[in-house]
Amino acid sequence: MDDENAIPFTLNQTKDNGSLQFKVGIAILSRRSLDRIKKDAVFAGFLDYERDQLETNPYHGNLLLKKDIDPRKKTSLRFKLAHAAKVKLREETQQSP
Amino acid sequence: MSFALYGESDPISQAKSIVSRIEDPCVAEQVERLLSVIHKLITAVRQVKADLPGIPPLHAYQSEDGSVFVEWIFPDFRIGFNIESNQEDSGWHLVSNERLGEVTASGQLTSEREIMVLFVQFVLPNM
Repeated sequence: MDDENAIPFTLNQTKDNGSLQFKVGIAILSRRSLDRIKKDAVFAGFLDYERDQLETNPYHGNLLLKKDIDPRKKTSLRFKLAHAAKVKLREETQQSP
Repeated sequence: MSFALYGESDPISQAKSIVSRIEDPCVAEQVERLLSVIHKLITAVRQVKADLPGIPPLHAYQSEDGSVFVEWIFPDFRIGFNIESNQEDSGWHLVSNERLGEVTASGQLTSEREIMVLFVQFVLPNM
């Protein structure tokens, strides 16, 4: 995470029409977890990530996946990323003092 | 087919609830069969192991292409099943965190045997 503003910034992101981009909440995946998954023998060479700052979002980036990844491996990766991520629901944030 | 389980709440009830909404009959049949097998395994183990810890619920959701994902999420690992219209493309996936050795394994879902092996060799010992 870049700094302590990354999470509130992402939670409060809005679309062009002013509505919330992420209505339910967000998933937080640490760089450390991503690096570990990248090195996993099953996914090595298929997964990467990049920073891609936008004018409207200094934290923006992309997960990069090779096109020729085997479909089964791709599905496993989905589960792997999901399991490594922490979910932050919007209602938790609203309930916090 | 009855899915009622005694004791704690039924771990497969949420996943079961989407079966009627699955448009592809081949996918629906595979999902029903999968849940039936898991239900039998849980029931059998509960009869033998009275002190079995709480079993997390299975979750199922349909993706845009009509396939269904079924997930069983435990604290240190997760088992997922992708159910496709072409049964040969349906599969199982096991991922774990660091604590259980960062396991990543997957395979085809061609018979009940794969589910039983997963359950007996990984789920039960690590619950």
